Amino acid sequence: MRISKIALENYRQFRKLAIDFPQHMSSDLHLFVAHNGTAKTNIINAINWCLYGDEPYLSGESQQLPILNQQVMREIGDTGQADVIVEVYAVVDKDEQIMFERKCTYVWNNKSAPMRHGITSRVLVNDTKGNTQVLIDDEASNYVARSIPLGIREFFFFDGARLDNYFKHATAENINLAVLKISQIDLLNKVSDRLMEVRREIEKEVSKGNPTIEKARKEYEDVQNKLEELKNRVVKEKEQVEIAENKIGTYEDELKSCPNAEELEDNRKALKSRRVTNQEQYDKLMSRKCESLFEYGRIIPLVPALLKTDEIIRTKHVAGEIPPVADVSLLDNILATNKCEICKRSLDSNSREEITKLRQLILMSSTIGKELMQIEGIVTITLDRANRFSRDIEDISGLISNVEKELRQIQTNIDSIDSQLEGQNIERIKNIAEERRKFEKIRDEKNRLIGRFNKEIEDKQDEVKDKEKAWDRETKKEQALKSLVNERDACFRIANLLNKCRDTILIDTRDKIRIKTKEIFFSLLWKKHTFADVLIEDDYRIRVLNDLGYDCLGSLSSGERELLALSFTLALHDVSGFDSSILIDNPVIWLDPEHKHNFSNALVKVSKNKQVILLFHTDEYTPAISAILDSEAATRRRIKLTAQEKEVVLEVL
Amino acid sequence: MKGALNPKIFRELNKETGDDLELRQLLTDLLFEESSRTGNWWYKDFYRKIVKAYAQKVSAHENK
Repeated sequence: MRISKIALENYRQFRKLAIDFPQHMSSDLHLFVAHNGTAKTNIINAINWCLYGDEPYLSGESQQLPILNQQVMREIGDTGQADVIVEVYAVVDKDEQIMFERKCTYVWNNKSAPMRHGITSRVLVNDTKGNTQVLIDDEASNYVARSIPLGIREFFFFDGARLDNYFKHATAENINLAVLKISQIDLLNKVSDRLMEVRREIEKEVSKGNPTIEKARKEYEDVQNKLEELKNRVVKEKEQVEIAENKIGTYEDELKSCPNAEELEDNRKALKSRRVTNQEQYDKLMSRKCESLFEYGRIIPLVPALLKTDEIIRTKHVAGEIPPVADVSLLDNILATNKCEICKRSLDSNSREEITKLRQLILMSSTIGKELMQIEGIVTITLDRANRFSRDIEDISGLISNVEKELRQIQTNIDSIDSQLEGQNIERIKNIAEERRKFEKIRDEKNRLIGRFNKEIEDKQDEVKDKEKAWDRETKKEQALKSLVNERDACFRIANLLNKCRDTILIDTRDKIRIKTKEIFFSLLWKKHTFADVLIEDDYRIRVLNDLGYDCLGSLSSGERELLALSFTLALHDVSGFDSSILIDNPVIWLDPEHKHNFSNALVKVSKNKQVILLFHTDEYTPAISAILDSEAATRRRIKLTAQEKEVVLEVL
Repeated sequence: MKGALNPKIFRELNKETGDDLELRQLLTDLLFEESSRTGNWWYKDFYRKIVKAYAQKVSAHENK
C-alpha cells in the first residue's frame, strides 16, 4: 500500500491543503523540508489522526489546542461551526483505491470554547471493476486495523528523533508482535486459533453423542426377532396342522371301509330312546281308548230314553207349555212395602191377598220351568257325547295306528343298525374315530393359533416399519456424528499444519531479519571493526556484540542506536514483504555526517521498492544529504507558513 | 487487500500440504477470508462450512 494523496482541511495549521505523492520513474521517494514550528510533524500526526484517531507526536503546547485551524475560528467569529477533515488516499496492489477519512465538527460561541462534535471515520474502497465499498466508523476502524495495525504503526510512521530510545522502549514482546503482524504470521495464528475454537465447539456436539441410537437399534432388533419368532411359530404350527391333516386323512381312509360305528351306535341309541317314548305314547292312547269304550258302554243304553226326553221337552217348548221364569222379588217388595211399585198406590187387603196367591203360583211354575231346563241341558250334553263317541274312537285309533307304524319303523331301523354292526370291531372303529377327532381338535386349535399369530405378525410388521424408521433416523444422526468427528479431527490437523508453517516461517523470518538488520546496520556504520554481530534471540531480544563478543547495545551512541533501529525497521519491511509506506520524521537528526550519508543511500535503495516519505528539519537537510537525495526524489517540497503565520503552504523545490 | 498476503506463507503452506490440493485450497480460502473480513461474528459459520466440505471430500476419498 502506498499513499497517493493526503488532503487536509482545517486541521491545525493546515487550512486547506492537498499533498500528492506521484511516482517519478522508479522512484517513490518524497522529501519535505521545514523549519521548526511549520507543522512538519503534524503531517505524521494528521495521518495518525485520520487512521487511528490520535496524534502521537504532539508537543505539549499543541495538546492544549483544539485541532481546528485557529484562523478559521478567527474568520468565522465568536459563534459558529466548522469541520476538520483529513483524508488519506492510498493504492493497494496498483489497482485498489482506498480513501481513509476522519472528520469532526467544532461548534463554539462567544461564551464557550470550541466543542468537538460528531467524529466520524470512513473508508471508501474502489476495486478495479468500479465497485465502491463504504465502511463507516467501527467497520472503517477494523479495516484500518487490518491494513496497518495500530500495534505496528511505529514501524511505518515514526520520528527519527525518538529512535535512539527505540530498543529501550520496544520490548522483545513488542518486536515479536511486530514481526508476527508485519510478516502476517499472526494471520496463521488467528486461523489456527479459530480452527481450534471451532474444534472445541464441534467437540461439545460430539461429546453429547447419540445416546438413543443403541436403544433404537435394540428396539429394532427386538421387534425384528419377535417377528421372526412369530413367523417361525407359524411355520411350526403349519407343520403341526399338516401332520394332523395327514393323520386325519389316514383315519378317514380307515373309517371309509368300516361302518360309522359311532354314528350307528348313536342312531341306535336315539332310536331306542324314541321307541320308549313312542311305546309310552302308545300305552297312553290305548288306555284312553279303553276308557272311552267303557264310558260309551255306560251311555249307549240311555240314548233312547234321552232322545225321548229331549223330544218331550222340545214339544213343550214348541207348545209354549213350559212356564216362564218370573221375578218373585218384585212381588216380595210390593208385599213388604204394601205399595205398588208400578202405580205407587198402597195395597188394599184384596190386592194384597191376590198378590200373595200370585206369588205362590209364580213360585211353583218357575221351579218347574227351571228343573225342565236343567234336564234339557243334561240330556243335550249327554246326547252330544254319545254322538261324538265314534269320532273320538276313530281319532284315537288313528293315533294308535300311527304310533304302531312308527314303532315298527323304529324297530326296523334298529334291526338294520344291528345287522350293519354285526361282525364289526366296534371298539377299534371307535378308537380310530376318537383319534381322528383328537387330531381334528389339534388341527383346529393350531389353525386358531396360526390365525392369531398372523394377526400378531401384521401388527409386528407395522411395528418393525416404525422401528426401522426410528433406527434410520438414528443412523443418520450417527452418520452426522461421524461427520462431526471427521470435521473435529480435520480442524485439529489443519491447525497443527498451520502451527508448523507458522514456526517454520517465524524462525526463517527471524533469521532473515537478523541477517538483514546486521547487513544494513554494518553498511551504515562508519566503524567497521568495533561491532562483530547483531543477534535476535528466540524471544526477539536484540543483541549487538562487540569485537570481543560482549553485548554492547547499552554502549551504543544515540546515532548508532538510531541506525540500529532504522536497520531493524528496514530489515523488517524487506524480509516481511509487508506492503506499506515508510514515513520518517527527522530521519537523520542524531546521525553524524558519515552515517547521514550512508543512511541516505540506504533509503534511496529502499525507495526503489517501497514508498518512502521523509520529513527533514532544515538543518538536518544538509547539502551532503541534498546531493544524495535530490536527484533520486520523486517530489521535493518545502513546508512554509504564510506571511501571517496562520496557514501552511507547500513550495515545490 | 487480497493481494497483500505474504507470499512466504503460501510457499510454506504449499510445501506442507504437498499433493493435498483440497487442503491447500481450504487454507487459501481461510487466509483470504480472514485477511479481508473484520469482526468475529462471521467466522464460526464460515469455518464450519468450509471444514465440513473438506472433511466430506476427505471421507469420500478414503471410502473410494
